Formats: sequence, C-alpha cells, structure tokens
Amino acid sequence: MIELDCQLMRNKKEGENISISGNTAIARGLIEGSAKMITSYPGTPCAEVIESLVPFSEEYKFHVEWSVNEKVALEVAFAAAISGSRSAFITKHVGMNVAADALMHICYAGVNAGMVIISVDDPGAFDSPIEQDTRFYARMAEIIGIEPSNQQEAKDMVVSALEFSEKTQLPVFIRTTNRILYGRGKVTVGRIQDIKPGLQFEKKSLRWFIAGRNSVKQHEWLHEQQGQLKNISEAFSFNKIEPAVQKEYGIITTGVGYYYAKEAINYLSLQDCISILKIGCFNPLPENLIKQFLNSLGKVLVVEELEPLIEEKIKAVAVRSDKKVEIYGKLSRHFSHVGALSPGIVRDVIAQTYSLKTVSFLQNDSRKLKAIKDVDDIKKTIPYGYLTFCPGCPHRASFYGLKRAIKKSKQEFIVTGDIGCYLLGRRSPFLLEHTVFCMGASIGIGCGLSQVESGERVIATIGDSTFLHAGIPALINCSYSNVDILICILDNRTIAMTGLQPYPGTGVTVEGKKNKAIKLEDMVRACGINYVKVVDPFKTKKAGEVLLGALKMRGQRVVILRHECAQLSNKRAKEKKIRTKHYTINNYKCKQCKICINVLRCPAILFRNNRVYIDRFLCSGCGLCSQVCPFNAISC
Amino acid sequence: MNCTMELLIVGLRVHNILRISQILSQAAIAQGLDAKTAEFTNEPLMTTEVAHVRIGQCVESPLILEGNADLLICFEPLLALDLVVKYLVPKGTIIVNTKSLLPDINLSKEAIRLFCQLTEKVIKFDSVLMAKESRDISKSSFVMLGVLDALGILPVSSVNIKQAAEEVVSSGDLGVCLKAMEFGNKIALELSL
Repeated sequence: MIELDCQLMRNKKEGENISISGNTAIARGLIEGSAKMITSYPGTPCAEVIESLVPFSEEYKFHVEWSVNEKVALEVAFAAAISGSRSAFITKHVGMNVAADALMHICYAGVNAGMVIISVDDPGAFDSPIEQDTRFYARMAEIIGIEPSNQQEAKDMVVSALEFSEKTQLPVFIRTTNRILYGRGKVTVGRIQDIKPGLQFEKKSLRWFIAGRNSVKQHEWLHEQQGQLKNISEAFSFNKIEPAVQKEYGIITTGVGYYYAKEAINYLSLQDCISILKIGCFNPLPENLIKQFLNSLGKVLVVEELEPLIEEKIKAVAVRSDKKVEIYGKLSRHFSHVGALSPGIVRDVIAQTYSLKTVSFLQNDSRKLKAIKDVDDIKKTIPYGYLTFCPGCPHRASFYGLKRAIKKSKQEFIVTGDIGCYLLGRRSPFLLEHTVFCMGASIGIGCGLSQVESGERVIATIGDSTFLHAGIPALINCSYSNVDILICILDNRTIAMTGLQPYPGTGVTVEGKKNKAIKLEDMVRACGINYVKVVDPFKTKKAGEVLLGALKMRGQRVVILRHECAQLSNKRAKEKKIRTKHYTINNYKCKQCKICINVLRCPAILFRNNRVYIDRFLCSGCGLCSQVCPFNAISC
Repeated sequence: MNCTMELLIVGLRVHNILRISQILSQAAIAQGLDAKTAEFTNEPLMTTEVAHVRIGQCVESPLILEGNADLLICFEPLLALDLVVKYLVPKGTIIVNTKSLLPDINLSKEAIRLFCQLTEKVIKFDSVLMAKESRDISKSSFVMLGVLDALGILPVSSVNIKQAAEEVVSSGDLGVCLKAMEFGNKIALELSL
C-alpha cells in the first residue's frame, strides 16, 4: 500500500484532499515541516512512515535511515538537531523503552533545530508483545507531549511540533496509536516549507556535556523552560471545547477516543447534553482550559486509551476548581485499564455513567443469539495453530530440523524465543518455544536459565536483525559467564515481520543503496564464541547433523540457519518475471499418511476430498515437503 | 441517524483486501464525501486482514459500531464468523468468496451455511478463480471491487472508483487490475445481482 499512498501524495497539490494512512500522513508532515534527518528501527505499526518517505528523499534532500536499534536512531536524529537540521525519530512503543536512556539525557541539553519524537502505542497489543502507554515518557523527560485524533492532525501536528521544538529548544513528543496509523482518513495537502539550517553545533558549549555538576545545571535549565511549555499547551490549537446546550455533563478526551465519544454521543442522541473537551496537548496539560471546562459542569467522563494519565491530572485540577465536579474514567473503574477502546465501549460507558438505558443490538435478534452458539461450535473445531509460517518460510525448515535434532539427542531443553516471525515456533506442529519477551531476551533469559540448576539445557532462538539490535550484549554475557547454551540465529536476510525491511546484515540501506554488510558469524566470533556453524535449513540432512552435533556439545555454540525469506524471494521473482517452480503430489505414490501436513503445516498443502494435494498458487517451491515425504511422492 | 455506508472487509493478506479500502476511501473523497478506515492485521505474521470502511457526509469514528455494518465482504468465510455476529445489521448483506484457501473446506462451507441463516442477503461467488485468470490471487480484490460497483449499493460512482484505481495502482499493473474489475462487473450481471 505504501507505494500507492506515495503515488497519491506525489500527484496532489497544496490544498487538495487525499485519503492516506496515518503513516503516510506523518511522512507528509515531516516533508512539509522540512525534516532533514529521519531515523527509526522497523516496528509495526509505524514502519511505513520511513517507507513512505524513501521515494521523496532525493527530491526534498533529506536523509532517512533504518538504524540498528531505537537508541542509536534517537541519538542520530538528536545529533542532526543539535547541528541545526530539523530531525525526527519514529518508534513503536516498545522501542521507546530502548531509546529511553538517550531520551532522558538529550532533554537536559536541548536542541538547536526542531526535533520530533513520534511514539506509536498499540492499545490491544494487536501487533506487539505488550501494550504500553508511552505518554509517561513525555512527562518524565519534561517535554511537550501531543496526540493527534485523526490523520489530518497527525500530519499537521508534526509540522507544529517541529516549530514548537525550535521555539522551546526541546524535542517535542508525539504519541499516537495503531488506530490512526493503520487507518485512512481525509488529509488536505499542505505547503512544503524550505527551512534554512538553524544554529550549528558549538564545540565549546557545555550544553552537550551531560555529566556531573553540569547535568544539574542543565536540569535546572530544563525546568526553566516549563513555563513556556505551559503557555504553548494552553494556546495549542488542537485543544478544543465543544459546548452543549445543557451544562451538566461533559467528556474530556484525547486521541482517537475523541471520535469514539462523538460517535457514541450521536448514537445516543446526546449532542445537546454532553459538552466535549478534546485535548491535543497532554503534557503539560492546559490546566486553565480544563478549569474553564470543569467550572460549567457537574459530571465529567475521561475517555483515553491505556493508562489514566490525563484523568489523574484532571482529578487534581478538579480539586482546585471553584465548583465540585465528579470525575469518572479508569480510576472509577468505568473504563478498563487494559485493551483498546471502541465506539461501542465508549457508548456503553457514557450510557452507564449518565444513567441512560441502552439496548444491546443482540437483544432482539434471536437468530444472532443462536448463531453465537453455532459460531463457538465451529471455532472449537478449528485446530490450534491454524495460521502458521508462510509457504516456503525458512523458519519452518529451521524448526523442523531443530525439533528432529532435539528428539534424536534424547535430552530435554528449554527453548527461549524472541521477537519476530519465528515466535510461531511455539505453535503446532513445532511447539518449541517456551518464552517470548522483548528484543534480544532469548539470549539474556537463556543465559540466566543456563546458570540456575534446573537440570534442563537451554536453546535460544533469535532472528538476524534482532540479534544485531539487542542480542550482542547478551551473547557477550554468555561468553563472559561461560554458560552452556546453544543459540540458533534464524537468518532470513530481512526484517520480515514488519514488511521486509533491510538491516545492517544485508548491507542494503532503506533507499536500496549497497553499503557494508555486517557478517553475523564475524560478530558472533568477536563476542568470544568459538563454535559457529552456518547452514541452510532447507538442506535438511546437513542442517540436522549440524544441529544434533551442536546439541551434544557443551559451552556456547551458535548455529546460523541462513536462507532468504520466501516473501522476499517471491517478490524478487515477481519483479523479474521469473516463474516459480511448484511441487505436486504423485497420487500413485502418495499413501495419504499426511506426514507432510502434520510435521510442516504448510498452508500450501491441503487435505480435501480425502486426498492430500498442493495448491500451486500458494506453493512457493521450497521443496521442504519433498524431503519430508517418506514415499517420495512429492516432486516438481 | 445512520447515514454512513459501513463496510467490513476480511481476508488473508494474499487477497490484498486493503486495496479495496484504499480505493473506496479515495473515491469517496474525490466525490466530496468523508471517509475513514481502520485496518487490522490480526494473528502472528499478520496473515489475516480486516478493514472497517465508513463513507458518508461526516464520519466520526474509524471503527464501525457493533451491529452497524451494512455490508460484509468476506474472502475467507471462517475468518468472518465473529465479525458477522458482532457487526452485521439484521438485514445486512454478506458477499462471500466461496473459494477458501484454508485447509479445511468443510468448515468454510459450514460457515457459509451459517451466514445464510443469519441474513437473507448472501451473495456467493468464486473471486479467487476469476483472479487466477490474471495469474495473481491478489487481484481478487479488484474482482470484488467490480462486483461491488455493479451492485450499485456504494455511495461512490463507478467513475470515481475507476479513477481512484488509476491513481493508486502503478501503471504496469493497471491493465490487469481494470480487467479484474471487469470480471467482477460480469459476475454480478451473471448472478443477476
């Protein structure tokens, strides 16, 4: 979709309307705001911001990069901002944790040119291991925090953020969510500014020396800026009061919650009864505006996603307010602290809070009520792990080989997993991974597990880019602690889960230029590991021997299972119009034993009308099934 | 009160369903309407895709309110089970692709049977088969767009849909996509929709 959005963006002139995703809207905002250095590490749901920017980098003369991890990405963007170039760092919420160390330091120093930090939360954890509210980072770092409620605001706020950042000499934090980035809305194209470079980097300034007594001095400077930030917050044009005719009930909301509240109010026909305060700037909060809103009301419901960050502050403001106002929200348990909001949830809470009766849309529909039971019955028959690795995925071959090798070794292992497509290794038919936490944790947790007397040995599985992102320090720890661990690096030559982005291991930049490639085996050896083997998982016999050999040994061993991601190979084949070979089943040889289905669960191998067959449109031609079939019934 | 057109689309990534939401929302905006979409890539590996599409004079929420979807477009019947129950209005329409790519076809047939119990308006056809003629399953989204267009239930005109397709599809792919849309038009006429 990215290239298509870019095409739309390119063809439209200032003032014209387009329907684009939040990702593309942010990219457009960065171009309009004249950002010259834009960095990130691939993560869903915000990877497409960078990809939307790439086609425009030469035309508008900016640098865009996938950095090795979020901390480095933030530091690179910050360096540009202290050298006079506007910059941006984009990350998903969990990446903000990786960058947090740098964030806390850079805010003491401030910037010379506009810098925006865009953090994308994932309420509901649709595309992430956890849901987490990163608005707290803006509060901790004592910088402006703003949140758009639709795609238009996402674009416009980026432009405003760069201006505010320059004005306050501090980075501006934009928190947004998956619902804005993974969705489309009407955006009016704005003017592309041509901002001249700001103050250059001064070598002699103590601002850049955040240590010792100077850090206290800079901390004081940061506090001095807070008055200016409060003024900006009060006057922020994206804060908005929508008064109702009756003055009793109100809603204070932020982000996409604003539109859920509007939808719910329309549904309940309460437009004349409920006033709305939409908050665009959540840190610092526009306290005077909030006081003004509260003073006219008796009951106020706070609608925000994830933690009650605004609600807590509003309660404090309400205490100081002239009139007694009851505040409802997450703290009063009207809303849950977890999961994503929806217009239905907001509607029901509004109705409950204001003692209105609502009728469930299911209540009068007997057919639907019966259908719910039938749906449950059907769902019970859908096997666990129904959705699995793509056809031709090298991880399927890797886990197949690892499972067989473990069985042959006749030993028990704890297998730690990591963040990437390969976390599906915990699913049927492999059922291998016992832990999944954050980036690089497979090796770190594995290192710890190896040192406790559990009686079980440890295998860590980690992807190629994840290894470079956060696995190296943990591997050094394994080496330094001399633990017994086998580390399988599943090297598919791309970051597949977030959309096939390149990374330092490929030596290809986001713009497709060839640079120096970092060899994983060299990195592993440099971490003090002597046992390093590289094998193609699709060469099942050889891979099995290598894995079994590594399992039998003691100490730190690393096996790199290297084969290109099937999605990447298929994409290239399509571009070059190369026909993919397809495997078929010889019905005379096939005994319908279903071993191919049961041990691989490849989506291309189907069982229909009492026979096994391969769907040629799904088959990627990897040939793993032909190696697994005991009757040689599969060939191409 | 509900003057928006609410579509829910569900399929596998290979069906490229987000193309439909992209083209329809762009066509709506070109026509002077408002449009919002919300896109979900569920399950690990982002295999399943769901799109909420809302088109009207003024659209607030990007998500459809439960029990309010006028139309559910479904490329994989099994993936739509929960969505049909949760979102479809009592007399809503389901357009379902009968060619399932999931392993157990009997479960998909069972799901379609259930759809027919839930609403009288179930339109069934094989969009994947038609797209295969262009050697690309991902073009089944354009076949579906052709069907939707021929049905005449969308608040956007054929001209704007075609223009949006021309705007967002790369020139190398455009001919095949427009052909797939024509297939869709033809199917709708053959089924006397």
